[in-house]
Amino acid sequence: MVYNKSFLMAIELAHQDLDYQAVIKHIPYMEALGVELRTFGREVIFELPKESKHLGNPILPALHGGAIGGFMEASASLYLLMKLRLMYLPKIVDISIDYLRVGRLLPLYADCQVVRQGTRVVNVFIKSWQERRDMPVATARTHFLLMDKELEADQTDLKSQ
Amino acid sequence: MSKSKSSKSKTPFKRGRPSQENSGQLAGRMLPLALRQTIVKRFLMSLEHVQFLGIELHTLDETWVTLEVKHFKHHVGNPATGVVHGGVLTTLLDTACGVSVISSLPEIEICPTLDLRVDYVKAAEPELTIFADACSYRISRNIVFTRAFAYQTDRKDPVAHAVAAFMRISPDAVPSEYRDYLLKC
Repeated sequence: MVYNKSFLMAIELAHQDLDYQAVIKHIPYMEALGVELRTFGREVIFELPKESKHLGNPILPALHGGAIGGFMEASASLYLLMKLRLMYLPKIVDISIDYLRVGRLLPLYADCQVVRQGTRVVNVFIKSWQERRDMPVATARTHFLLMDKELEADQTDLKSQ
Repeated sequence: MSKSKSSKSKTPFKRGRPSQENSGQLAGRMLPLALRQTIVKRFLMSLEHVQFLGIELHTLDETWVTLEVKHFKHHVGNPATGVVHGGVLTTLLDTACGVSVISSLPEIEICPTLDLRVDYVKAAEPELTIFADACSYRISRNIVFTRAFAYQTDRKDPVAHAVAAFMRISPDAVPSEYRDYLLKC
């Protein structure tokens, strides 16, 4: 439970300082992928660094579709945490990925856009690219579930500890 | 690579050889089971991201390919709950579908994913091994349609569902060194 609390504190701190890279450090999968984020004013761009561990197709070589998908999904959840000032990571409901081009062994970038925010569900559109923004490697649309009653209860417990 | 319709065939089987082991729609158009197992194992070994996550072949039969991934610390996507990140499931299901394509075609072909849709139907139990069953349910001249589902203890109680379509490129597009690598036992 100590781990829980430190994650919550990291999110709180990130909302204060607007430094969300610190949140990534608490999420093992994102940390292992090496996800980074940069903000330019209101714009946020996520980066998956160039590393051979992300490769799938060994012939070309090309990034693994799962690495691209996982990165886009991670980007979208962080984006929601930032933009909606959430105190938790939203739960993913589904994702639909279109692979448009081969992902080369180069850094992959992604940006996100909230298409529609309901009370419980958010629809996010994600675009990822490498050398040119107008030549996307993949696009995805995904739904996230906003608050979970259990999570909410857990968090109030934590805060009151 | 384009001039490989030449006299000596690179594959150790005849095109369209009928096989007694197979039944159903794809019967007679698949490689022998043992050979498919070798190819799939070698193929998985050659994918760095698959190695990075620790995804392995569990079983392979006439229609289904089952992959498994054990729990590792770097799979966790939510430190508050210890649940694996959706990206691990996405990679597992994408790989399972991809492997089922390779395993169901009459010759070695590497097909890129066109699209992938994953439904995360319920949260995975932390720290349990996750399995993924995949099959190719329709093989056309240009496209292979696949579906897959991931589960932990009960095959009838999945944590995620997926459908994916793959584009067929010619078997000639596979470099001969890579083909040899896949066929090595």
